[in-house]
Amino acid sequence: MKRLTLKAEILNRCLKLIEEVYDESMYGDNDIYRIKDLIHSVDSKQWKSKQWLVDEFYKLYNHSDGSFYIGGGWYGLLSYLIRNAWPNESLNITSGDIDPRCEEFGWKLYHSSDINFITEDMVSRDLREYSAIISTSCEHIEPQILEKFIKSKRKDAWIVLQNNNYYELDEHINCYPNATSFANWVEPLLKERIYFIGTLKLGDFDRFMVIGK
Amino acid sequence: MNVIFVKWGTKYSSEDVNALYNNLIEYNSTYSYHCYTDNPTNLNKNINVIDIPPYPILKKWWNKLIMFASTFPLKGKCMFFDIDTEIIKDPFKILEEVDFNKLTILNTPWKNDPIYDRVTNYDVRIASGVITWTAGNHIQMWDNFIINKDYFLRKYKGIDRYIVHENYEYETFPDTYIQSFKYQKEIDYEPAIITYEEVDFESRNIK
Repeated sequence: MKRLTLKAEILNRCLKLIEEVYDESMYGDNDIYRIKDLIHSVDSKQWKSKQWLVDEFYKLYNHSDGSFYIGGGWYGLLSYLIRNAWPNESLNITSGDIDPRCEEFGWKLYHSSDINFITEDMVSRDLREYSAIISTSCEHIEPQILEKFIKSKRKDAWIVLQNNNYYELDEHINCYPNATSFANWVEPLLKERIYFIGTLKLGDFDRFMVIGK
Repeated sequence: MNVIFVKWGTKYSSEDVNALYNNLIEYNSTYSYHCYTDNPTNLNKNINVIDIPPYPILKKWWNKLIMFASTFPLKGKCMFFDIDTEIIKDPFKILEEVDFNKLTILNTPWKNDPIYDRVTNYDVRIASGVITWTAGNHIQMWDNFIINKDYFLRKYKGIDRYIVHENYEYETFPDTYIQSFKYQKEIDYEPAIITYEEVDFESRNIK
């Protein structure tokens, strides 16, 4: 019940933001595609995929504090769901995205969730300070960049990655056919091992998740 | 003058590129012909290969955009042709009218439906089947794209829409330069080229 109430609050904020984008298109920057992008960022598949990550990672992480970095965090839904699972202020959440509007919209959508939104390339930051680095956008990220991201983490830090087999989109440049093939790519880059491999059926495509150290 | 083709993936073959090259050299064999590709196998030896690098990864027509990057290894005047282009008469005669200081691109007069003018519709009335420009003159088109590549890939269905809606300046070739195989079944002029716009191209006997 609490989850439903929180979801309604976020969706309401999203509606207000959509109105802002529309108004801006009338008098300022005309970028009404943002409306679709915002809607996609909180649609049911996004919500389901990211809640799946939080639920599975919560079982493995087993701490109430630490510092999470989300690379390619988009408008921040994952960070928000992480904060709901780890309400303790001693867990720091940073959401980085190279698109500057993600930082702006992230603050507007999730301003009460103690999330640090920043505009940056996900491999430009020193990732050694984080206890977990996470990206649910692996299908959008060049393998070389993703490899650097994984290798930049601290030895004992968690890595949580999602990918999919939705090859049809132009922006999906790094898909895998199934979870095993994605895990086989990730595993040699890890300091320890993979702790979780899973598949979430989402209708017209599957989402895969790999969690390791 | 550089004449450039872009071949990515398997939709078009080296034989398709060679056929277009053979048609074009009938009109000018002194130009430098280049193919920007991820697979140069079986390309005509007289076509200079420019390899698509492993990074950044781009799909389909998005690979055309890197022709405008400062790192693209060509200098001087450039003319690009889509591979699914049929040459009817001298396609280079038009160059007498082209201002190479500007980007010149195909007009699409067959797109006369008012839907193209809707604010919510990112479709446009140009086509990048043929482009002329001077190398290095439009690097901002690539530089701005690569900064926020993923968003532009989501927002636009191709580089034509990116060029128009990101407000880059362009000129257009005369309407009589082109015939659309798909949309202009009957015309009252002889075009220099027919553009297939990725439809029915495979059924055409070009070999």
